[in-house]
Amino acid sequence: MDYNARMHRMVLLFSLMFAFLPAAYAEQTLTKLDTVVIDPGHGGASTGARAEELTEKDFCQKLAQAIKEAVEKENGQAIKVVVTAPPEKDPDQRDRAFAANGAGGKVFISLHAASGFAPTPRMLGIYVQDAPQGAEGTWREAGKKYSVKSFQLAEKLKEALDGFYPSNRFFIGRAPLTDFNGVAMPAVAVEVVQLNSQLQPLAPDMFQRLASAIYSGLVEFDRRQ
Amino acid sequence: MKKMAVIALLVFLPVGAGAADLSTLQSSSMGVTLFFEMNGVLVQEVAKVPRDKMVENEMKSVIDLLAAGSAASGPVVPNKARLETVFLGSGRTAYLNFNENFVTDHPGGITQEILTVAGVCQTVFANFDVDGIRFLVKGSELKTIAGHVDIESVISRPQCDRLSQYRRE
Repeated sequence: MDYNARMHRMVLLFSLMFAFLPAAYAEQTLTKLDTVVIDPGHGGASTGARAEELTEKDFCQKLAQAIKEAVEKENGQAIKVVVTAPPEKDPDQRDRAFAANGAGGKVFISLHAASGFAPTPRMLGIYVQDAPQGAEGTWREAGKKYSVKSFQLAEKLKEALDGFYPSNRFFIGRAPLTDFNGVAMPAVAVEVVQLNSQLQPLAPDMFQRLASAIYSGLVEFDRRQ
Repeated sequence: MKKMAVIALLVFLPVGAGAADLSTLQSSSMGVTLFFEMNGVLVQEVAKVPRDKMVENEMKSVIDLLAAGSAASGPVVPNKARLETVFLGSGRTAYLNFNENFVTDHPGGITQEILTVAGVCQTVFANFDVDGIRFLVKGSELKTIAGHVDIESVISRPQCDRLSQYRRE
């Protein structure tokens, strides 16, 4: 086979490979999760963790909006995005759960920022509910029957977020968190950043990139449904 | 002979007296285990606190050491947090009543809050004969310290162990 024929064959081979790639990677729409609930931690007078001028409340609000935009960019109005807390308010958990359940949410992502007594970077947590003692039969274990799916969601978000920071990775944790009380759907609480860590300067495009990573985790979870 | 006896008495008497003081000192303090944090995991350290007829005072001393922090590992409670009163209730539950700095000086964040609850509980369970712990600030029962970890109910030893092992993957 002469040189030209070989080149021709290689070009054809690469063309065929790339012809199938979009089908595998461009499918970034949600098909089964028709309602996504984003729950920004804290709000109103409750600022949560803080580092200098940046508060957990503001960070979570900005990220919630960025995730909403990411979902809408890929899906238009086909997918409903519910944000449980407006910037100026800190609804109690009952109201947050009511907003999520009442909208028919299929997935609940509670956004948080980590902090600590020292600025030493720690691994960041993606938490699922571990109902506390005495919660049996109460609204505090409303998400119990979704515990397997919640863990699957945590796994997909971990895959999507690991590697986002050069110095920090994510772990999946279980804890009795009030952030899950009354929420009847697969639910996770994510510490997306450690505010007091000096090794994590906040880049201007950070919210868009974090939102994009979280959305890709959502897409992977959607595919498993 | 009399002279020898006097010299021997002078030589050994101070030693004997010193030994008595030392034994009093040893019995007047107790070894305790404290739980601090390192890379998101609780680690143990040993220390001594004065013995007291009131177990409540011993608990206060232990929490004071926890608040003072460690040279080797990170704190789990704010530096100005103090245990104001302790009430030992039915079912061997310890009601730990902190000052407001326990909450106001807490940096927040889910993981730090877990480490605070687990660190205090492990420390109390390791050193005192109690089966449950309830957190209060200025006499009011707490639902959370910084908005996340549910401490509305009494925390038992198994629950505390489970919370301490919060990282699953």
